[in-house]
Amino acid sequence: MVQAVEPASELALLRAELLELQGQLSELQGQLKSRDKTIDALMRRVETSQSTRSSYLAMEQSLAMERVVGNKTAELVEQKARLAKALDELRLTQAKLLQAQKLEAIGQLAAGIAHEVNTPTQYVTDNVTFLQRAFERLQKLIAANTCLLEAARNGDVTPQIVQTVEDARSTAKLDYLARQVPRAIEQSLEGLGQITSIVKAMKEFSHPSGAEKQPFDVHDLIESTSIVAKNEWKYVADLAFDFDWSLPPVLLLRNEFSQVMLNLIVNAAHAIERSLPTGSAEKGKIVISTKALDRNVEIRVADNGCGIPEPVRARVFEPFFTTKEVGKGTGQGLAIAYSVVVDKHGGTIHFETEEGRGTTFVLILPLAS
Amino acid sequence: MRVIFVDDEVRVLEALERVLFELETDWETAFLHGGELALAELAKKPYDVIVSDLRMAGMDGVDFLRRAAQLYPRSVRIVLSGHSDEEAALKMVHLAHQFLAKPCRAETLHQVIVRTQQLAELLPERKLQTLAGQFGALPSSIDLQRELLALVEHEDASAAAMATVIQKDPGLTSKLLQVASSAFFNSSASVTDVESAIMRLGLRTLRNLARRLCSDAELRVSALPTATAVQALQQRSLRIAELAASMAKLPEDAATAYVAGLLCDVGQLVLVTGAPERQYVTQAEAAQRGVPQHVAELSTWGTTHAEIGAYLLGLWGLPVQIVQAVADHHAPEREGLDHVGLTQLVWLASCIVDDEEPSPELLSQFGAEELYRTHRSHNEETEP
Repeated sequence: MVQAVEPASELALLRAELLELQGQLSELQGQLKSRDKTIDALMRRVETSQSTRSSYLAMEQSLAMERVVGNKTAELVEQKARLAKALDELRLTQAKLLQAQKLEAIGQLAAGIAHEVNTPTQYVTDNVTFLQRAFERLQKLIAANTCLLEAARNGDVTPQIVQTVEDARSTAKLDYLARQVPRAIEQSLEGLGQITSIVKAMKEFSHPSGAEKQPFDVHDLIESTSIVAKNEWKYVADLAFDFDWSLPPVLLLRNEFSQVMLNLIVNAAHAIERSLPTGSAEKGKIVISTKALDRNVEIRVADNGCGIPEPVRARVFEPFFTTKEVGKGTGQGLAIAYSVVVDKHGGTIHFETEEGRGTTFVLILPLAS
Repeated sequence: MRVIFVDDEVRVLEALERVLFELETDWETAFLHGGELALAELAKKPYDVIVSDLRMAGMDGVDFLRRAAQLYPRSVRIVLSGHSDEEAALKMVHLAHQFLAKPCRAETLHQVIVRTQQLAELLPERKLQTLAGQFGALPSSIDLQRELLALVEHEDASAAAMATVIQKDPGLTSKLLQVASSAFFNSSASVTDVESAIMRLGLRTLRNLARRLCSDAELRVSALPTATAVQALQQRSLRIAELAASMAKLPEDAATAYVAGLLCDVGQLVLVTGAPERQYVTQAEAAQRGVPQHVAELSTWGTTHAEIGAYLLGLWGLPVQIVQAVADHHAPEREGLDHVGLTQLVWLASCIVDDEEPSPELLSQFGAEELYRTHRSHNEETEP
């Protein structure tokens, strides 16, 4: 039996690769620094000897210096090329890591999304089955009525024909149908609407966006991400939006931005889940708000969950740092949020938190680059 | 019959109510929004069947069903869930009798509920329904559990290796078939043998299931003499299974005959662990009177382990032909056949293993004299 490669193990491989590349990079940087020092020392020696020795000696020594420096420069060029290559690889690996975390997130979301689709499919199917049967009965009633009409036209309405219509009317259960058919149709349409919206949100969420920033309505992106993640929060929290509708489109990498929103929403839900007693009917609250600032947009994701304890506050943006139980967090969510907001969008991210009261993550993104 | 439906989506409940109205059942139904309300309703009057969603806001389906199982053990518990999460389903494996996956056709749901009604007719005594229905799993041989656990933890254990262990034990096999038959893991036809069950589930699910089965206290009977009785039953069932399989004419029937043979005495597992004292008395009585055990059971319980076992396996959604064979394996005349079918194979095998002389009329009715004689003498030669 072939087992599919799980995103989790792929992620682990990428992590290892990333750590190794980071190691190589700092080693190369170290080597470069020591080269710089050697050259500095040589230069100083050349300068001092020029002032003290005869010009001939100085010339000879500086020729030797030139050879040394020439060799060193060649080495340096080579080192630089290696460094550039390592940096490229690092970027590629980081991109892969981002993609892998996203796949992992989608994998975790998949079960929830299936549920969000299966539930309306259940009641839409039941309602349509009901309508099908109801229509069959109505058709029989219509047929009986047609006979009656025919008989009325010919002027020979018999008690039997009237009885047939009466029977068909009572079998049709018209009162029941009058009450239930409109509800069944209405709820089926609602169900189909729900399925459509989740499929659309899923498409928006997973569709790869280009490498270039483009103007997007952040509210659309926030809403579709919330729909995709609905099954993660709906049992523990209500989610509300408080949007500043005057907000212009923001230049964004759509995919990366959605991923940040997803990570923050899922974190908020987990924080609330932790703060609720198990099996409780209580729910927490997640509020996502936006505000247009002068040249920036501020996005706040606030929860009234457990808060971030003092000792770990300094580490939350560290890669691989997590306080969640195994299988629930990879420690990548906030590290990726940081990298996307700060490195890719030139924005800032910070949080306000109080233990037992909740946490608010605050993103500030420039409106234009 | 009373049926209660529980979901946290009102529209699911309303649509179910409409479609069931169209199916014109004679059930008394209730549709409750959430676990708390459902528990309140259950406190008012007994329900025969509970159909519940799994993941619900407020009281979760798992909590609700656990409470319902404790308070109203006789009610048949059916999960109707939109969650495709396998681990969550495996967690429920001992709590619910059957799993249905949303979207589930109304006809399917209807059929499953009608079947529980038929099973209740097979075992009308309510106390016995409770006794059987409260088994989330059947006890199994500790040695085989250990063997299976060792295999599961081994990196490259094959499905075939696990199958070999599982199909030696009625407790493990019945659970495997329950899971493999459930619509949650499998959307198509019924699974009547261990190999197809394993193919359906796949290695990963099988591993998870095996871990779940072996970690479960319910399956682990360590108290003597019950543990000894369980061990003895396992070994006897294995002999019946092998014999039934070897008597089948066609190889494809052999695998099903094996399973039916292995499971034909699960009712004894229920009795020996659920009501040990009374069952020991019954066994002693059978020995004293010189009658087969099922005859002694009839006077103690008003029914036999065959019906009790079939009731439980039926609740678990095992294939109808296996349940039928288990139900009738001491009364093969009920089916009115004139040849040897699955039930007759199990009947013959258990007669031979129990050293019980089948009635000559029945042997001749099924045309089974030759088959019986050959295997009987063969069995005597090889008997340990």
